[in-house]
Amino acid sequence: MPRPRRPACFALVLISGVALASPAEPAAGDTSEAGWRAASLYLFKESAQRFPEGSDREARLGRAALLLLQQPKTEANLAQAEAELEELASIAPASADEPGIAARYLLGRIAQMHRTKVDSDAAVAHYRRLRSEHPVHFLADQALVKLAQLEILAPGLSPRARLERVDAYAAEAEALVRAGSRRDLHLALAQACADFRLDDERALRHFLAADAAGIESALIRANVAVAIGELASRLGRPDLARIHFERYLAEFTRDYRRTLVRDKLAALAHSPDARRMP
Amino acid sequence: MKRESLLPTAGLCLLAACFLFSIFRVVVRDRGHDAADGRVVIRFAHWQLEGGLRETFDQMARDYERLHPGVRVEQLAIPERTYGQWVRTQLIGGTAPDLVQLGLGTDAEVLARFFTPITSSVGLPNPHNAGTPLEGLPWRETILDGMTAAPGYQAALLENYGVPVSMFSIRMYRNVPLWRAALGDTPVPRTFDEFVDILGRMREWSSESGRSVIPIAGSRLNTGMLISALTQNQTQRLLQEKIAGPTLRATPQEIGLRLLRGDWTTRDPAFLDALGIAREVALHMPPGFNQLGREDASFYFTQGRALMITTGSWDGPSFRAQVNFEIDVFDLPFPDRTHPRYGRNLYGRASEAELGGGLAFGITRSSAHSELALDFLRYLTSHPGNTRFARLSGWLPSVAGVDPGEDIRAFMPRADGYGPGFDITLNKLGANTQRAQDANIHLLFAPSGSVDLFEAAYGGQLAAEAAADLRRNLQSSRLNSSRQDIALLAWHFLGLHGSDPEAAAKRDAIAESQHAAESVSLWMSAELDALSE
Amino acid sequence: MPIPLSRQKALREWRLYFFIIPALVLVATFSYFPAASAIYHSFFDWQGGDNKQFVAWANFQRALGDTVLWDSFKTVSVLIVFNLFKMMPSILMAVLIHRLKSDRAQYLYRVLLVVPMIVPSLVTLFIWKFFFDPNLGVLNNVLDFTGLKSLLVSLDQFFGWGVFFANVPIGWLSQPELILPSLFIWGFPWIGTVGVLIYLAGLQSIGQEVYEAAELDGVGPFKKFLYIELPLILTQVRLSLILLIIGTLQGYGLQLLLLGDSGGPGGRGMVPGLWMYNRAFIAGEFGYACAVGMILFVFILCLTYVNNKYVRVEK
Repeated sequence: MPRPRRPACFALVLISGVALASPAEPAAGDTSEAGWRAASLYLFKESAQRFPEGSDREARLGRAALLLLQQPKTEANLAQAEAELEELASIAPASADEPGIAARYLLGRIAQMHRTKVDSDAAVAHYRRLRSEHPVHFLADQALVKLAQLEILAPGLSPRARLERVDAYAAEAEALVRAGSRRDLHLALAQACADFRLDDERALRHFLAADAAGIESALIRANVAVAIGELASRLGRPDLARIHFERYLAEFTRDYRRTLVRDKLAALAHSPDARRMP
Repeated sequence: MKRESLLPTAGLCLLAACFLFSIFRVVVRDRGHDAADGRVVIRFAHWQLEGGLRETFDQMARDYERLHPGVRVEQLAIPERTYGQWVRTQLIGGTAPDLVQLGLGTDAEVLARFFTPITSSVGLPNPHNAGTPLEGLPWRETILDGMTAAPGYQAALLENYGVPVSMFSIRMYRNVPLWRAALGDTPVPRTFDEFVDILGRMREWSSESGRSVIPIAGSRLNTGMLISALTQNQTQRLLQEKIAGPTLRATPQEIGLRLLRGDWTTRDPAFLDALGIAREVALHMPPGFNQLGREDASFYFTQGRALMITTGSWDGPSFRAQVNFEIDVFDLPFPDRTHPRYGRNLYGRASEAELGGGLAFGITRSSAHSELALDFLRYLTSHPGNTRFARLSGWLPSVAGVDPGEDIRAFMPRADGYGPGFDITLNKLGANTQRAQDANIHLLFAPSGSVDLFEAAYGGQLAAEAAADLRRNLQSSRLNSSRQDIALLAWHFLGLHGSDPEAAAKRDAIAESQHAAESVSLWMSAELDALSE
Repeated sequence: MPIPLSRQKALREWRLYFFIIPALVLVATFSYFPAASAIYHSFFDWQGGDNKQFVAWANFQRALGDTVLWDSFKTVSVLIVFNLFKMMPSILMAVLIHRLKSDRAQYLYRVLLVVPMIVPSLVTLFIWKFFFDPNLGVLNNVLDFTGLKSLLVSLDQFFGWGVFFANVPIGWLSQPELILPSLFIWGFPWIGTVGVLIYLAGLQSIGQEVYEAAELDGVGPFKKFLYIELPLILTQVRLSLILLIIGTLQGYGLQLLLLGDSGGPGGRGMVPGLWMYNRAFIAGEFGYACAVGMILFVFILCLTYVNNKYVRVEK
């Protein structure tokens, strides 16, 4: 009776194991920087693997942030991330501790964006706290824009209440440290005025302020140039309208609004009131 | 006895041998795929199996090989139906070609994981443009769409991953000998009324002559293109007056939301006229055209059974190869502003200024010769290379200033004209709106139907379906925003580490795009909540 | 009947089990894993990519109020009734072949029945699509040629259906009223190869002595069918019935190809499988589509149980 060939069998199993095991991705050193690098490329699985284990605060922040995107998305993961972020945010509230500040910001984002049911009140509370504790930080600037969006674009407000909130946040724009954040806040205010059809005058003012702060995205820049031209012509400011319409025509050569804008420009030459145009 | 006991072992051994051989092949596989003659091989894959294109790419490959004697270029043409899965398999297996056509199976995650960003390269001049009017211009500025559109540009990642080699436009094709036989010297129609007149005359001629010829080959896709263009033309003013804000343009979501808010309704005269013009065209189509596919319509046209067909520039070379009669093309016939019924709703003919580039190729990270792949891509999208591509293939060029030749000059996008309004599906707001249209469209297109019947049925369902599509869209926006949160933090901390000089700019670009998108989402969410109360 | 095998012997021939592994792996990978994955994903809001969120029973709750889904079950019930009717020609054909005196002729007919199986089913579907083409299709040409079209137009004018018109080709798949009739016509003359072969196998197991006894009693051909053949092939009929119900409930390829992903005009051709496809691949609601699939699975299970329990075959 032939004996079972154990070594052959063992070798086969071993080879199968080797073949089935997925080859490990060569990590560029497991550091927080490697983790952030992967996350910046939207490679969240790799990112989660590259944040080193241990008590390093930045790595803890990275791991907690990535828990928010871990699939499948579950309440347990969100709760675990929230607990970790709360701890990071509460350790040194007054110091310039970057992971702590980012953790506070993320807590606001969890309440606003990551949970199935939006908890606006909690988000507002986190953002306000971040603004009061670290008023000149980049993420505090972000928090003010988010606050403005949450409060101005909240459901169920009367047009008048919305306008009052627009004015209140407009007054805070100068408190923002970065031009990019001022731009985003003014854009949010202008968009609210335009989308809810609240007030052309305010919309124009905020579009102009956003434009002055410098818009990077070509798509948004084209939209803002056209919006300023259109609002200015509606409000009887043909010179302003002309400047922005012409700037738009000079800069954006492949945009299907060009002929309409040219018609509006031609009409401006005859009448300052372009409301009936073209 | 001995033979019996060996049999199962032999099978097992065979299995093991095959398995070991497979492992060996995988381990020693040559990712460079260099040719046996020692030349470096660049492979590129695409799904465009239309007539003439593969031959063109072969010719371009040979031209490139002549310029670079140490290089061999191979193309892989994969059917569209399986392309997405094929690409994913190749990318995951590490066996992907050097260049891959983007657009199917290449979402943001796949691009980030498996493709090389070429943002810095597209900001530099294309060396193959030396001695041409484009010499010294950044590569990005030599491409007609400015490389700001998907699939070459990935907005979420803020990176360029591919460069388009071609573009596509929609035209009316006509069978010239049949036209002459039926309509004599009648010129091609310039207005909608002339077009309708020709359709009527063609039907009369067909019944009088006893020839079974239809005026225009129709199918769900082909007629859909014509009807979509005409309805978008009819709603130009409606869009500007009741829907678009001061930016003078509106997304499908804004059109849907303005409908829910009651800013416009399906009873608006302009929308009813849009339905009217759709019905007028549909009644001249072969009966039951909406049940026919693209291939059925092409069959009618290439068999000489139809006088005209509406289709894209991509079909031109195939048609020319298949038919033994002369064909030419003309612009879609829109009504003008003086039209007694339809003129009041429009500004003018549609602009093609924003036609995006197509046939975009990206470079895979697994490419062993990425510099050569980039160079081949530069060659394809250079002034001389793209001119040759357009002349050989009959496809539109993607490069500025390229004269594509007599045959395809009529397909070149027209930058003049006005932006579109919206069509019956609210410019493809979503799957639910589309289904509502599909389920009711027979009420508009059937001889026994009418505009009122369709409006009553479709208008009754549209609000609920549009709301469902908007909510689904909001969910997608939330998902995108939540991913951007982590990317934004990543760039913020990379900036703090000081390892990437562009980190702050990237972070700010994400913040700008996220804030703009969230303003829209929150506005829509607030309006939807208010409407559902 | 399996041959009893001692445990010792079974273990001694352990290498043989390696040969079962490939089959087991394939079945597990391609049959059990997708089914398990569908059950799992039916509890998620999943749009098909990596991102999914647990939503517990939300997809099933939504399905309860989904009128399109429940309407699609009505449509598929009608199709099941059609298909029950369409079983009859196959039984009849099997009986006719079985009663042929010549073995050669029987063989020839069996071969002729099997030959069309070589044609891929997709090609058959395309042929049928062309069959319904309003302008070039066979059906309209036959109706025109035979004058039946005029009859249909007259009937239409009398009853006021608003479906058939004198100078307009019939749009079989573009008018909601004609969708179900078209699906009924599909497959004419409804002789399914597999069905005929299954019934033939059943018929051939009937002993010659039964026929001889019947002939002595003076039983005619129709009564032979009714009292001998049909009862004795009921096992095969029941098998066909189960396969037919499962196939009709699950199937949607025909509707997708003929009518598109929205179920055609008025959504009249929408069946549960097509709705599942529409939600997954058109709307991108893969989680919900999985829940629809689960509901469909429960329906099939229940119908199969009812069939097994109540459609009894007297031995």
